[in-house]
Amino acid sequence: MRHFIIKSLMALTFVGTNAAAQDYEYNLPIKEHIFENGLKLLVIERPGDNRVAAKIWTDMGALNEISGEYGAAHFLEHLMFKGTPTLGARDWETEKPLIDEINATEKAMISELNRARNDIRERGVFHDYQHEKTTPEIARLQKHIDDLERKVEDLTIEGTTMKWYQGFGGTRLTASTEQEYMHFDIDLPANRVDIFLRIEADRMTNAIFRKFDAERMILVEQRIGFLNRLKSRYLEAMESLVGRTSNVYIPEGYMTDFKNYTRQYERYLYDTYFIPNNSTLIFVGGVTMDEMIPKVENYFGGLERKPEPTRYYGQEPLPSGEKKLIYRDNKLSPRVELRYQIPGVGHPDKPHFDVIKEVMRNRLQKNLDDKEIGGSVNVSTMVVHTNNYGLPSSIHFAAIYEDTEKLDASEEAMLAEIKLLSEENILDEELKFAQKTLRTQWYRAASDPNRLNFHIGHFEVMDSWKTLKPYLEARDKTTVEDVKRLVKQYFIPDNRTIGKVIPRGEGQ
Amino acid sequence: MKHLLKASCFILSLLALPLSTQVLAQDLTHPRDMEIPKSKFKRPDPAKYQVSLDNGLVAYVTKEHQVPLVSLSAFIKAGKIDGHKEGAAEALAEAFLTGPKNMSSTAFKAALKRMTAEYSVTLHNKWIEINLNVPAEDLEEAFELFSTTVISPNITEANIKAAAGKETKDIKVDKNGVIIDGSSSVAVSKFHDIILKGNILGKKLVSSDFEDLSTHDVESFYTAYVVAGNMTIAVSGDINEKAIRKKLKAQFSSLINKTPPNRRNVPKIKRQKNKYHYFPADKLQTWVVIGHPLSPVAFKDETALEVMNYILAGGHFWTRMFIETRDKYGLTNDASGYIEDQWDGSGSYSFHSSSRHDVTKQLYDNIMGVIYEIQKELVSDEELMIAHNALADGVYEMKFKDGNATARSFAIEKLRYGNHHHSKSYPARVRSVTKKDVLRVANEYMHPDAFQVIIVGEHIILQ
Repeated sequence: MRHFIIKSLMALTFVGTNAAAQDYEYNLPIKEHIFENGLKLLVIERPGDNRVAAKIWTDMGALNEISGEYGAAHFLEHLMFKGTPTLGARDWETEKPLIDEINATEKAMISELNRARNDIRERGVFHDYQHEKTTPEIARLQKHIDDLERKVEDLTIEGTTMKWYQGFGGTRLTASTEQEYMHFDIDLPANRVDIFLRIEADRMTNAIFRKFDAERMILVEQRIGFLNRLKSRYLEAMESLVGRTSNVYIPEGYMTDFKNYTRQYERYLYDTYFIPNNSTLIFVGGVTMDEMIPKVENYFGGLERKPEPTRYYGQEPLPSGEKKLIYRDNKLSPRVELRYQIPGVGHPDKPHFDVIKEVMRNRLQKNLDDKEIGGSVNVSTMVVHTNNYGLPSSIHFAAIYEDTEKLDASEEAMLAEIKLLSEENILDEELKFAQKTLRTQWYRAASDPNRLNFHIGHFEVMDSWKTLKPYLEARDKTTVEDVKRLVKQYFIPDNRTIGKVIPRGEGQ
Repeated sequence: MKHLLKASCFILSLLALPLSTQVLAQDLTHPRDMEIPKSKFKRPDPAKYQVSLDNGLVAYVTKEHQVPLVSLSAFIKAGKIDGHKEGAAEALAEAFLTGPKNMSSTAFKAALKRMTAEYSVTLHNKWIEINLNVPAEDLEEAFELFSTTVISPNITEANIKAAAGKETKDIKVDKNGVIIDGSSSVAVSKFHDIILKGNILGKKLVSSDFEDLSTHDVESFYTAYVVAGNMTIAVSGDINEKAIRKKLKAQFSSLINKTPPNRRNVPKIKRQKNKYHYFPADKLQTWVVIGHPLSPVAFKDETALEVMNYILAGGHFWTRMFIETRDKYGLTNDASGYIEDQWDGSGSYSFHSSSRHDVTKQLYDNIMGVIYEIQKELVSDEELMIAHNALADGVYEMKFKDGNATARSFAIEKLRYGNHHHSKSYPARVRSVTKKDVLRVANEYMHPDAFQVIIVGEHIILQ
């Protein structure tokens, strides 16, 4: 009996010490509260902070889009800045019938478009659908919508949401939509958090899609701004080759998609996903859970729980053959790149790939330099995504050059280095250094309440906020054997996509 | 009795119904009518963090316990415009990047890598900043590297060569002179070239500048400017404040204190007559910069100009320019105004935007429309109130949002002004700006007849 007590005490002491050490490493004292309507509230209390980083996360994004409407989730984010009946309306009583008429006219226009689709379709070698073609009826209905929008314009006050945030000391105002999420953000004096709750509860339930066609053009601006970067088209071409079904491999809308967006489809997305039981409020900073619960209740408590959104996602098929992209461009620096699909967040192997990325970052540059192949080496993983629907993440090894002379040698050397990694154990010091690098990166992120909030929310929509800390800890537990095993398992020819950028020759 | 009970229950349930409805109803009180308390923020007291060494060096030490990281920064009042030999400041910045005299640059880089450090040296027109961020476990080694680099940088020919390579880089163009790479910063760079032509602030270094430069010249620049009274230091993070104060004294007391040479006389940037400048670019968008040099801003006008710019174009998202270009018409993703401060002298005031080619003219017209409007009429009470609060409770508070930001803000302020009156009085000065002040500074500091219009992309015809 005595032995048992001593053993128990020892065990407790050990657990206690261990927990304390872990807390120091990854200090994530997250408190959770779930309201009756399903809304989740997460708080990290940082006593003494004068400000608070606030975000509201919705579990929806590009994964919920369908072909022909890519970017619709991102567009919805833009529309949700256009106000509500109580924010941005000069005279809602007069505006409401106009909004209703716009929606009805659009419905009629969609019917006409569906009826006339075969008549207005044009086929060509590269474009088999010309969106500019129309019918007199479509043109008439569009003109009617334009006229109504102009009337609405006179009845609205632009920028109202932002105005009040800024007027109460809000900074870092932004919103973001990715494959798994949409979030709206602000950083406020902590005692002014009510303004965030007031505006976001309203935005979640009463958004009015004003200035629909003007806002559509902002997406065009963002898209061409992205395409202006020399490497954008190459990166999109690579993405499209790496994976097959997941929307993570598809851009945030093509030009033709922007023209397809309708109020009707955007409303469907909004009504389906912007519900309390699909949303998470996260606060990091000078607030407490005790004070936040009644405040959130006041603004969000009246919102009803709705049916859980249906989610049909295709499972990403396993890769089944090596692929190669030859990208010809005279402006983009020549490069060679190897990509391998790896699992996303939620899969137990994912944290180890973060370590492998760091190990390879150090090895590749040294290896290419030693062989006098040189080049600027870049090792990265794709923007982090969920593993809930099959793979999809990928790891990239690239080397960039002034000319094409060393591309083949570089490819050969990179492949040899990967092979070596599957055959020989990495050194313990390599492993430890990679782990230290990752820890430092995490501390830099966690030092900023806004970035910490982001990581918590991102994990919540990809997997669960509860797996963030185990994920970070798992990276510290990666072993030499894990590295060898995963390189052998994933870095195989059938799972490889090779990209090469070379200049465009005469006549190509 | 039974009836009474039943009746009571009925009455109670009737009472409860509206009560619960009231609880469940969404609170849609307009923000204007909400009872939002004043921000509790009070600027920290700089004296609490200040360490003054006998040689005149001032440092700020703040503890920030959230993560085990430490930041070390040095700010030196010497920049591109200083010195007698062109390129010396640029070469010194390179020397700071390669570490101290007592170790090779390879060993220095290896040490930084081993620590997983973030290290940067930034050369501004009038000052240099050196920033090092490391895990707390590496503080001893990092402090040693940081202090020895500042006190005794490894000035070599290689630094001069590296600086020459960086400074003489050109914008990528094709054989016809069409810009083929870069971002909207290309248009900003062209704007600076135009307004600063012939002024020391816009000096363009050429290869021969570096050919004429010796390590002795760079040493002389270092010895003249990197002196105790001409720099400040900030240390923040997961530290023992006492130990850091001790270390600062031990490492930096040897720095000589002497008066640095007088700064070069920077002539006032002359305003030119309104002109259109076109640069062809092979891009899907046209980048637009509209602006002119900014006369030195009187202290009394500083916050009024900030408030005016915030309402016009500076307060990203909710500004007149953003609304009239993006929100209403979908012409651009962004249109914003920038006051470029040059520390005690002329700077610039400009507006940056971009658009698809076919709407650039409309974008230009709408930008100019809001500029003319703010010069004609008083802003509204609400606009003024929003700008006051956004600047005093938002932008200002963020400068002291944590220990790292606080140490950095105080160190820069001390270097620039020699005291902390500026930050102390800032909120009151912002809140005292009136509508008339806004109108006045809009006319005193903004001159459309002197705007240089830079168009990079497709040509437009302007009126």
